[in-house]
Amino acid sequence: MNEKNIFCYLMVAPALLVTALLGIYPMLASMVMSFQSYDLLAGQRDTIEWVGFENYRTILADDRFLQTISQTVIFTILAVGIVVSMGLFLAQVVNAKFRGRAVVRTLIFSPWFVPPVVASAIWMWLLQTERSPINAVLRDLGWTSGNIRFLTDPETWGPFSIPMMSVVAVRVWNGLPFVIIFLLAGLQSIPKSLYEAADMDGAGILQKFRHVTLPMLRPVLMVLLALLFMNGFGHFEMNYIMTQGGPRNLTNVLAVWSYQEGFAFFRFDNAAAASGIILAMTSVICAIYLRLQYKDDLR
Amino acid sequence: MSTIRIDNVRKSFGGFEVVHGVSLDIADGEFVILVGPSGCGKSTLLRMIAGLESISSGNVVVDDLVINRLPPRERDIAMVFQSYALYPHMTVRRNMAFSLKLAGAPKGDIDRQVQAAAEILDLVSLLERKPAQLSGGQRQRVAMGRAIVRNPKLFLFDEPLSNLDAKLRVQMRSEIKELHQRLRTTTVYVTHDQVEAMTMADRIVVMNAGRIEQAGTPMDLYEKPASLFVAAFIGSPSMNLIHGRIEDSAFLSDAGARIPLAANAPVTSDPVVLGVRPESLHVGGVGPAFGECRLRVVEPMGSETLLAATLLSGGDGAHGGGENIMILSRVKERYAADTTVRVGADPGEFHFFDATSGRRLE
Repeated sequence: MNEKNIFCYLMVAPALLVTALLGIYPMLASMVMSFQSYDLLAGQRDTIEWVGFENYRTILADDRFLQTISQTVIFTILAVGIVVSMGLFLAQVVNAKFRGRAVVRTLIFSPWFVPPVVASAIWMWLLQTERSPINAVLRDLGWTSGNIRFLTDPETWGPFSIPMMSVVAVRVWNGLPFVIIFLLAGLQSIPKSLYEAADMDGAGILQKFRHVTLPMLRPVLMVLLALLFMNGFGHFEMNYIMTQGGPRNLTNVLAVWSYQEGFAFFRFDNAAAASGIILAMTSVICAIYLRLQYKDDLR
Repeated sequence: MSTIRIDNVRKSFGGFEVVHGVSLDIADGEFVILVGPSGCGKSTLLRMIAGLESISSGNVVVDDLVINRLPPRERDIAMVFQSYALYPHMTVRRNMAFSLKLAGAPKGDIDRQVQAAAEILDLVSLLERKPAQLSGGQRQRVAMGRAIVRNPKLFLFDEPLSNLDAKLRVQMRSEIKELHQRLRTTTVYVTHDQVEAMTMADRIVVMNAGRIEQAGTPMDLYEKPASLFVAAFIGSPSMNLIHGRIEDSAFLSDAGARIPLAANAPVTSDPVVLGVRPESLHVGGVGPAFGECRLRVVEPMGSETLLAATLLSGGDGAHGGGENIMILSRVKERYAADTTVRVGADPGEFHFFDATSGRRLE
């Protein structure tokens, strides 16, 4: 190993160490735990009891858990779909040259300065049924007669409910600036001459978006979608803070379920099994991403 | 097939005018080259014709239709970009078919037209490749293919050869010229390379600082440059320019060299600039005397030799001089640096310019 290599290893060593200690070790430990019986209320035992897939069987037999899985997927698809669609549009707006662009940019990026926990608290107040300023505005406009129960209405339409939409909206609001910046970087790397060539070829705005912007953004979009889906499947803080998964489990997602199972019911084995399912879901996304990228490299 | 009339066109960027009232008529089927140094406004003018740049004032008229406010897609103009601007995610075929597809042409027509264009440009075997798998010259040809496939009214080329190596540039130059001779589509071509302009154009438009200095055939510009700028710009190596004045049918340089003139030389007491092309100067006894020169650097190029020399004295033998001049010798002879030679020139090939205005004196 020459001096340059040693230097390179030294440079990445701290990051690797932190990742190993705080990321990889807990993940492996949790996976190991998902195959053991680990019930804090059952008291301390001297031997480790291996139970195979028993924990997975237990949670998968729980309707509330199955509902949580499907909701996690729906939450993620909704949040990612909306945030990426809006991001694509707003990134173009931010990328365009117009008077007052700096103000618009600041406004669009401002949700990023708000940590998710604080954002959740602010939105809990904004969406609180009795004191919600949004309800006040809607009533003043005459659009609604009563108060909308943004975070507590238990009525459902298939898998959808008002609390679900409210939490999705807040997740989109908070996640949008990141998506815009990501896409903006991608947009700015598209040569202007391609748009001019498309102009000369007779393309209108939508055709330029369809035939130039989207294909040119493809690599960026793929990374972004992979990141958003993986983060989305493991999302915790907003759902937990705003609704704790309620009402009637309608806004519950896997990470919140896992947390409650561990820290409310002290069933760390079931919580670990739920984490195992999150890991499996993110692995699928990862595999799809790698496969698409491999195909792109071949082309 | 179209005519273009550019009528007193101006372009300002935020109050700063870069094109100052340019007027130019381009005939049907003509190959016009806009040439000039960087920042002279030639690309801006081209982009205004294309519709990629708005026109601050004046008119661009194609076939009697003012197109100032038409978006590029309604102008029926094709353009080849300096960077080629090929769509990297599309195959050569799709790149070429794109404009036809957008126009809603039937698939059979598209295939036929792409095939025809590919045959003209020798691209048939490359149709299924992506731009990244092509060489610079091939990409250049695809860019042209994309332009010719839809048979537009007008071709615009924006420095299309500047990203190619010297050998390929010469090859593509003749390919473009051949293509024009075959299709006879009105063409406006922008370059900063005067050799490209001289070799390809029906008519050259020399631009400088947002104005047209001179427009004419390559030989017009070479033989009768209208200004010092054109004189220095057109021709390679460029024209020798010596400052001085005219006195008693001789040119007296500022450094004191006296060069005899022909009887029809202009008569003026104002300061003038004498222009003489390097290829009009002959080492040895040919022609009337221009002066004695000391050869500083000898650059043999095979068929010709470029000599950097210092004028020691004028043709009448009186001392003076000191001006640095270039001589292009087409005689096969081995010259040695640091030797003194007699240089002859035909005074009929001298050009005179007013030193203050830069305009040509007849």
